[in-house]
Amino acid sequence: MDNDTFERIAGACGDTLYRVAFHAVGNRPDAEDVVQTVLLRLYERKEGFESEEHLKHWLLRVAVNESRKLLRAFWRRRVVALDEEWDAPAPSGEEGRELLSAVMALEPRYRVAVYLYYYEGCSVKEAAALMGAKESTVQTWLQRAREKLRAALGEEKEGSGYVRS
Amino acid sequence: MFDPDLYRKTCSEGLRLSEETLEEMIFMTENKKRGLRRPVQIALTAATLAVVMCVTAAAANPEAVEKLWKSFTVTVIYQDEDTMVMQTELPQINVTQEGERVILDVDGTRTDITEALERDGVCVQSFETEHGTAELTVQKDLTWGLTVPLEGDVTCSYNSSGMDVEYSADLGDALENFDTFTFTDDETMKDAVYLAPEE
Repeated sequence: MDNDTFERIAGACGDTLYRVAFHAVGNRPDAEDVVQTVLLRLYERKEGFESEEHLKHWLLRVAVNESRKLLRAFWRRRVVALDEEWDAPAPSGEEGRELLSAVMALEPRYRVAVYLYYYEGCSVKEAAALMGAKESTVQTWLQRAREKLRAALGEEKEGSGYVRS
Repeated sequence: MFDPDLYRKTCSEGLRLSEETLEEMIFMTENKKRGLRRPVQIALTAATLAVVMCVTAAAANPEAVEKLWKSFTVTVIYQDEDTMVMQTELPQINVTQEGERVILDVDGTRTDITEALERDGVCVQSFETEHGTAELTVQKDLTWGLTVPLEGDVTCSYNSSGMDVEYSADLGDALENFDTFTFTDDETMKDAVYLAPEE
């Protein structure tokens, strides 16, 4: 891949890679490591992409995969407080901080499922493909994540049990 | 309540790479100065796990071990960008007496646990894994046990005797919960992945 194309993609997608990696690994240094790895994979890739969608799907998939590799590679004893690793202050205020803290308190696979579904707008099928899981499994993860978030955020009544497929 | 709009706004505004960081990453990539951590030890650990799991499975469920063993020898799909994997990996643990001190070594990370053992009679440490929190308990006699969360509600436990890997569910049931299972091919020492058969 030529430098101009690489720099354009990196500039446009760097934050996306960082967000999905952060959700997967739970802290800034590891998330940045994942982004660096994905960018290297991108730079060394010889084949082109059929479309922007194809590019985005490839980047997300590699980011999820590299995050998983990192998670299983490091037997990490350090739990990093979200406050230490976040860009502070959180522009969305206390409510946003509380919400993201609740999401980051979920298990990694739940966090990634929530991110792909609610942030990236992936369908359950797309999220399942990105995470290497069955659709029914991702559906369950999302449901459990919603239940945990409801409990953590003190929601009295869930607005909707609907999960689009 | 979980507000998707607020979540998206918070992620957009709060989770971003700084320009300096991104520029540095681009520079490092284009110059291929890859400053990433890649522990060599990991492949050896995975290989050990594969052996331990097979030995244990043989005792627990012959059918399951046949399925597992078959996957080791026949269904070998090397990991690449098109293969999503889910791996269970157990750390190498040693507890040793070094003079007056008791040292816990987890995958090369050494911790002095002398005070904890003297104070509490036991040392409990938690570790974050992909599937949740694992718990390692070291006793005063330097024996230890580790419980690791796996897929679903299944946990895996093993201890300082070295050969007993126990599952909270029958291994056959445990395997049902794996979409994929990765291991290190003993001959090539490459990561490989076992894909559970389609239902």
